[in-house]
Amino acid sequence: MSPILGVVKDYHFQDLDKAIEPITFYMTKDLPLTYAYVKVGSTNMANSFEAVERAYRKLEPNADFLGSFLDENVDRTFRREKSMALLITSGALIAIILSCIGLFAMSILVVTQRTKEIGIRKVIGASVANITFILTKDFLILVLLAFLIASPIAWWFLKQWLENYEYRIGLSWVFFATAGVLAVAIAFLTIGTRTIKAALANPVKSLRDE
Amino acid sequence: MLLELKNIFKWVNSGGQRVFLLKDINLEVEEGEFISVMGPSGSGKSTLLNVIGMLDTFDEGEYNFLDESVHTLKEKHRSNLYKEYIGFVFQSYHLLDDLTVQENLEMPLLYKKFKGFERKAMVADMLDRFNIVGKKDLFPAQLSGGQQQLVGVARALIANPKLILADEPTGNLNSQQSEEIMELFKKLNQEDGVTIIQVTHSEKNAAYGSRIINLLDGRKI
Repeated sequence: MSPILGVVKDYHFQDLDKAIEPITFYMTKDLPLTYAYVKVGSTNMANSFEAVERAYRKLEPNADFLGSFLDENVDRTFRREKSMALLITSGALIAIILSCIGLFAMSILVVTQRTKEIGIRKVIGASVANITFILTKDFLILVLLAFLIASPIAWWFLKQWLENYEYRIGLSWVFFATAGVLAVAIAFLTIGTRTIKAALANPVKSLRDE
Repeated sequence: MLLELKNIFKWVNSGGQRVFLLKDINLEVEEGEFISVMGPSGSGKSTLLNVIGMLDTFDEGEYNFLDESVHTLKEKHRSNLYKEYIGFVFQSYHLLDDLTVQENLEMPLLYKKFKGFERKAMVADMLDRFNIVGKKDLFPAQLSGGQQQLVGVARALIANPKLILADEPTGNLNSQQSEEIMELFKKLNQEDGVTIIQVTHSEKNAAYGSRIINLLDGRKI
């Protein structure tokens, strides 16, 4: 038996998806040395690393030196999450770009089809804002519909995924609201250029009788 | 005086040359006039009408409408002005195909921010006045040309404008329908005091008006 020398704060000594369990450190000369932790200054890391290696070789000339930085070791436990995040982000980005191209093409089509209607509405008093709203409304309804379908599914998968982790954030509605606002904003930016241009066009041109 | 054009010029640049659409147009229109604008194709009749209707701009000159100088007004102010005082009638009617007669009549009122009950009353009144109550739920495609133009005139009139601008209103109609529309214009002008400016090719239609303006190559003759 030995006296308790100190208590440390809880920290992850296993993978992040494991709960923090009790751990005891012994300071006893009977056990063989497996790890040595050295705290170094952060100014010249490479030099410090070499200094530690030299000291170790002096003490244990016959053993291999397997030194590493602890923060890098911690980083390594995140690797799976990081690559997954990268994969999902790039996939999502490609999906968004492809959808925007489709949306843009659709906006051109719709604006061309409705040129005459836009002209008529302008002549009977519609403002640029009115016209932009009419043209944008249908697209935004689609985006909203997509949002309504996607949100519960996303919520379910995220919940499942977070279950893997002992320590996790809660799923807040704020995430979903932000995603929804972002989706509407991206959609509007995509179709806005065309629709606003159409709304600003002089109705005289679109209403000219052949 | 309802409106006044002073030395109006409008041109486009084509191949480095200035092509004049309107050349030194001077025109005064009193309230209650019925003016016919005549001239061969390309003489600038429609352009003149669009300038008066504030749908098109001009490059030089002055335009006063009810003591407001249109040429100095901001776009928003200008559109408010024409929304309130001007109604348009087109050769090819330009009704909204997806809407019923009733909805077509209501549309300008929506844009002019009339309240729901006011709109209903005004639409009902207009349907009644033009004898098209029975057609209120039909779509434009279900009407004859003459009936469509009737709706077109009703739509132009619904917000009680001071000025009706008609660009060949009978151009797509047969002679009997034409006569009906022209009689309607005459009645509106004489009984309701609506000022009318129409573009027409037909001498017969022009005769309904109180004054004829002849245009040639953008110039008044």
